[in-house]
Amino acid sequence: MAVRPIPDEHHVVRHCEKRETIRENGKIIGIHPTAFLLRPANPPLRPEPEKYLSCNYYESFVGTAAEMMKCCCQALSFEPKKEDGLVRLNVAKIKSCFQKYSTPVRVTHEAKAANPSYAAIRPGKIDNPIAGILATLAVVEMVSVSDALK
Amino acid sequence: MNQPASAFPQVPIAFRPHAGVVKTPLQFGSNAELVATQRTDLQRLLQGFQLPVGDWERFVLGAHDTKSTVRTTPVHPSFQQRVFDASVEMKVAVSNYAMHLTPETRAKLFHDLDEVVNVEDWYEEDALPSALSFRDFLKWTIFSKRYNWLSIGFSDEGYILVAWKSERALLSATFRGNARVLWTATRSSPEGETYAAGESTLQFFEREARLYLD
Repeated sequence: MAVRPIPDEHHVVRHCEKRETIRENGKIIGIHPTAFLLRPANPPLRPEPEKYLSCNYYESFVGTAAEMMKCCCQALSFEPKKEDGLVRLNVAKIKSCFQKYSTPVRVTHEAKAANPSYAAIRPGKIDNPIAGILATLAVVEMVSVSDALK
Repeated sequence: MNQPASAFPQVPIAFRPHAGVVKTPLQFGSNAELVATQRTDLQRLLQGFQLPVGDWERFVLGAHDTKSTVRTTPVHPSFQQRVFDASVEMKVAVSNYAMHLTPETRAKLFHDLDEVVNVEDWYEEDALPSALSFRDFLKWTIFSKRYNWLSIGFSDEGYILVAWKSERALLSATFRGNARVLWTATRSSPEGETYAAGESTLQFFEREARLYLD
């Protein structure tokens, strides 16, 4: 299927494991930068290191904000744990974060048969400072999986 | 003095046939239980020897032989066991530094570890927490006397992730287990948000933390 750039005003949603979330009294208030680092190879499950960050295209769903978040959660190719987090990032803000470090990035909708909302953040490179600024400036919403599925 | 188990590949255990106890033919690899006297003998013989923990759990006896043989069988721990072991390893580290930590801090550490390192929330394919990284965090916490972290987490490599919050800043750190810390900080002010990131030694990270948390 065609790969299309996602408009700047739109959003992508990324799944984060509980161990990558910052919580205050059980509520997610932030995401550790490591959630935005490309994962190293982990054979046999992941023989190659990650080359891009997998996401879901928020605006590919229709409905209220809560319904769209729920759809993004249900579109994941695996069953997330209820205490995991879902973070919504604005595309323009993602690009702005990479621009600060003179690093190119593409945010694309890459619909697949199994997941029509599949999207990717394809960076030229991503290191701790870039991941940190993404976690700080590009995130516009954070919810737990259990809240998203309500 | 403790000696490794390899120092006695065959323990000369006295095998006492006991018809009343042996219910099934005993063969190598069977799950037959040792009779009480054999267990006692075994425990007595093993006194003073150190078996590798975790990898060798089951003793198997041969029955149809004139002499007794003890063998150890390697056991691959289950996911639940590995997660539990990782949690215990970190709690043991806490106990090593117990004299420097208040009971409240130890309880907070145990609680926060249990919150994250548990079978319900951990993915089987994820790397388990690094004890070295956790020890670095403990050392830094004791050195800096900053016991007010918000929550702890773990990176894909198993490094501990810690976050602190002050009135105007959020600081997050990755303790990499090599006495170095990767950190990011966001400070809010009327002029807008300030963002910073860096890599420091444990000692220098305390100076950075002061900028954002005090």
